[in-house]
Amino acid sequence: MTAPEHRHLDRVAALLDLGRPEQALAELGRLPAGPAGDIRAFRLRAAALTELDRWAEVADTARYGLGQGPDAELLGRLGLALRHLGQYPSAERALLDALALAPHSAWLLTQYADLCLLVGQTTKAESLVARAAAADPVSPAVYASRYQLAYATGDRRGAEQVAREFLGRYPEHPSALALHGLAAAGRGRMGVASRSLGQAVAQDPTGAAAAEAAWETRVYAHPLLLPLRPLYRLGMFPTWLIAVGTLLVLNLLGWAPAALAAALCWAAYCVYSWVAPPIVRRLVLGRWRG
Amino acid sequence: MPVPDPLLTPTITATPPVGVPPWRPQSLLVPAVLGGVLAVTVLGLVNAGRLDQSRSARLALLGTGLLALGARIAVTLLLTPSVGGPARAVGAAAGVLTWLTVRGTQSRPFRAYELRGGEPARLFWPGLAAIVGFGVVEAVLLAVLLAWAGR
Repeated sequence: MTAPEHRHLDRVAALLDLGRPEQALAELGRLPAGPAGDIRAFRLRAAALTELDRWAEVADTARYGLGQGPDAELLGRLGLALRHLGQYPSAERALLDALALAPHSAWLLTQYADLCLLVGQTTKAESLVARAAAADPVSPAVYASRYQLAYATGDRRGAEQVAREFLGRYPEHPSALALHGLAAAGRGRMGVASRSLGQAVAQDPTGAAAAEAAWETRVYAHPLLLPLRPLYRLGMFPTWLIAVGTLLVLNLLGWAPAALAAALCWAAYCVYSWVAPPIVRRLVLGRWRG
Repeated sequence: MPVPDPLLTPTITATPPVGVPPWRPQSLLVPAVLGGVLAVTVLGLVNAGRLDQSRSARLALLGTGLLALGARIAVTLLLTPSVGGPARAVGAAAGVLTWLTVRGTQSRPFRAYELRGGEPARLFWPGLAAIVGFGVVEAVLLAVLLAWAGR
């Protein structure tokens, strides 16, 4: 490859760093046939397609690139694409082949950990994330996997802590912002969630998952859903405990009318918590379509 | 010959099947309290099928449901011989105990389902049907047992 062709690929890499995958793909399309078949060009094309969630094309590109010989990054991209295409056993094979070439790659280890989480193998995922964290403790992929792991094991506080650490180290990283927003939403802090997810979308407009989550939190920040904030914030079980405890105390004190009124209010609140979110979602969607 | 790394050996044999979306296990608390043991056990077993859970997880739920139903009937017959009033609270408590098993066995598989991008199914109509249907069945069962016991 000639020096101008190297510079061309450097420009593509810079575009990817700037979060412009579509422009990066257009630049790659301008490469002549020779350099376009270079392994680095395949890596960059697969990375750009990954950013755009075009998984079938990521898999095709990785396979073409792998025709030139084994490459850990392309095998990792293939594993990631196959995971998104729902082909988990093939994704695992690709990731294990990649890890055979680069056993200490934090990115590959976290990819494999994420795959294990999807099939409920949390213990294995935990060991893989620990190994990835030992290799590169401040990698964004490691933070993201630690968050996923905490979420998968039901450790909401742990997930929030990881999201805070991630955002503290990378204040403008779209994934850090998105995970911070999701953690806040999980704890019922819809205002914070809406802000963080909005910033995540602004940083990475191609992120479909963050955009969808931002829309959801905007729905939950709707004034009609304000009465449900305590329920989301406390969680369902503690809220029910408080309600049932209140009813028991009122009954024990012999305040039957107050107990009846509280029971009716609680029943109405339960029905509202079931009915209101879908109605508000429909309202907001209708207004946006209008 | 080098020893293979146990962490880097394949363990995924199949992609989880895509079927009817499951309900959020936490949401089953509402039918558990309002409908009782039968409602939450049946909904929990249906949800276990949707989450493709193992036979042992389903049996654990069924066993807990049967035990809770037995305890609910025994406590009602011995301490509060009526269908309404305090007996209702005993029914709700038994329902919550069964729900704890649902939550314990189904939360992780449900979160894995969510991580795969799955959305929970709506529980409103099935939940309402279970509350009314199984609530009535449980009340009739208790009334028959109370009559049989001569209370």
